[in-house]
Amino acid sequence: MEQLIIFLILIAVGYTAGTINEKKHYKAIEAREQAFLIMPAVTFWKASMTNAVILKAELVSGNAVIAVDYFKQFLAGLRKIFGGPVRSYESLLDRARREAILRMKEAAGNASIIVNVRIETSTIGQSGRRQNATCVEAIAYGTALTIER
Amino acid sequence: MAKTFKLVFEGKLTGTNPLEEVKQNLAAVLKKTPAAMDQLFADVPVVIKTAADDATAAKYEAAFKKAGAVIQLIEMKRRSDIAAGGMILTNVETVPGATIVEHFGLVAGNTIRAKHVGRDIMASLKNLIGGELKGYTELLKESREQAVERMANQARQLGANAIVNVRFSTSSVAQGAAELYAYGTAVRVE
Amino acid sequence: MKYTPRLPRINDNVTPGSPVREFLVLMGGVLGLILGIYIILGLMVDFAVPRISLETEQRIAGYFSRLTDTAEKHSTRVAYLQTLTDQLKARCAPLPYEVKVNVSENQGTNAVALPGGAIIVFSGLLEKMTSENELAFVLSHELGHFHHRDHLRAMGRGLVLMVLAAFLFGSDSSTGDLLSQFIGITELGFSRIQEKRADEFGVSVVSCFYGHMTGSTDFFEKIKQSEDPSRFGRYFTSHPELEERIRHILDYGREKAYSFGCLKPLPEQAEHRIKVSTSIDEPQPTLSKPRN
Repeated sequence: MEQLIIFLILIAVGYTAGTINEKKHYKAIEAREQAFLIMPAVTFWKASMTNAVILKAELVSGNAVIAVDYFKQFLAGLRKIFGGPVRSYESLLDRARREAILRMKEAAGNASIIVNVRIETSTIGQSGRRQNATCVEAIAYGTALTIER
Repeated sequence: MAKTFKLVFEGKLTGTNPLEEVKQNLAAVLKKTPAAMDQLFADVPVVIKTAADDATAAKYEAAFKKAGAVIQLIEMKRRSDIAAGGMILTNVETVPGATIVEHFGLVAGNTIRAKHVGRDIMASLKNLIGGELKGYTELLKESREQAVERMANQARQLGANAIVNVRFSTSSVAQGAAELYAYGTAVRVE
Repeated sequence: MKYTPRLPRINDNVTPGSPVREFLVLMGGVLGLILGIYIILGLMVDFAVPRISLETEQRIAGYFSRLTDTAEKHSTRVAYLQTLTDQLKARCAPLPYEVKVNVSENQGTNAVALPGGAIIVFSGLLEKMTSENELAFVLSHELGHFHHRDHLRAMGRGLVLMVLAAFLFGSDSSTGDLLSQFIGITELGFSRIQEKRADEFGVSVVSCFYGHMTGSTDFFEKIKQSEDPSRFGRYFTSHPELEERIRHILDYGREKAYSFGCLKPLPEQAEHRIKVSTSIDEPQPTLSKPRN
């Protein structure tokens, strides 16, 4: 009985706090993406550099670690019994990667373009063999180029 | 399930009408200038429509026949064909045979899918004897297709018609689930 | 090549829809699944238990010998309990078992029926006894568990559920732990039916042995009073349960037209139970469900 009450409290707290956090984070991400729109990040590099004069080239990277809330974790556990899209983790990964890309752009200062961008994901805090991870780390890296206009 | 077709024109005529008349008819059908019709008959297959359903395909077929030309309907059986929805995907710097005129930055597609517990149990039993895990192969395929589909959707919203230098990446947040991430650069090619 | 700065309007990477709805749907599915397993399991156990022979049970009982061995063996109170049980069995409860009674030094007010015909009475329970009728009811209740072979049922269900939970959720997942608690709640309902049947058996044995059913509910009345009402969870679950058990015993007695009479006091050797107690390891019953 007591355990059930504790569980319900954890779920409720996880859900409300998690949702508020996520909304706030998405708002911040969208605003910053708009601001950084002038600095494109692309996965190729040669094709864009046909006759530009490159003043500076430097490796830049950004990373973000996002933790999962209790509600999402529980929902993912349930989803694994029935199969299908694990929706609760999708936004988690989406946020982590977009945040990492934004931080990479922030690290690039006033470069014109970031080329050959690569994005990797890893997990931290995985205790048991069949346990779901409690947080996810995304890292984005690429070469920032300053081009003479 | 509804079929999806790619409509391709290879310059073939039914033989009932002379070439000039066919060109004029087609220009009316496709609402293009007669000058643009020369491109259609330039001895290379031209994609008229990338993803058309049964009804649309039949309509085009009838219209072309009336105009005196033969259009080819290529059924897209693989889900990945449809997933990309006619978007050209490459994992090299460019689209070989075309020029990139415009780019829109990064686009990405992300998915996490799990199979139900019964599959997991069967998989752990299969570990005893080895062999292909059909359930998981299917799971990975579905996930990859969905990731590509989502990436293509993002690119379409930006006005791109190709994604170059596509990379796939995985993560392992939920154990026993397939997590696929596809990203590339959305471009417009000509 | 020129760059056109644009952002997608819709984020395709997050499946739309309400997570709360998903949670409710999945939770409903899981509860349905558990209910299904519970029903199938009940049918399976009911099918299998009458088919387990006494020899097989004795072999299973071998695994519990650790519990029975550590309990004290030769003291006057054990001898008294054994005699009382033998008399009850001989006169009013014909069972194919050779029932052995042991006392365990444990403050819990509990008695346990183990496979192979062993009853373990906790000393905490003995200290609370005031009449022989009351004690006879507790022993008859345990005999009732043997009569219905509840100890085997509980063990069978426990084992299967443990294996299933490990298979479904893994051995160390938090989701699994919580869901096993839900399974535990359904188990509680199952054991409630068992206890009711054992109570009925107990009161009929007491009535047959003494000629009346007085004293049968004394034990429950006592726990009801001693129960600490400050722990709210306990208060809500246990009290109506005890009340209901008392009411059920009385109703059952009325239905069977059992009479009431005088209580028989406990004999000397059981009265001085504290003097003869020997300190030993406390056995922890792990799989056994039937209580008092």
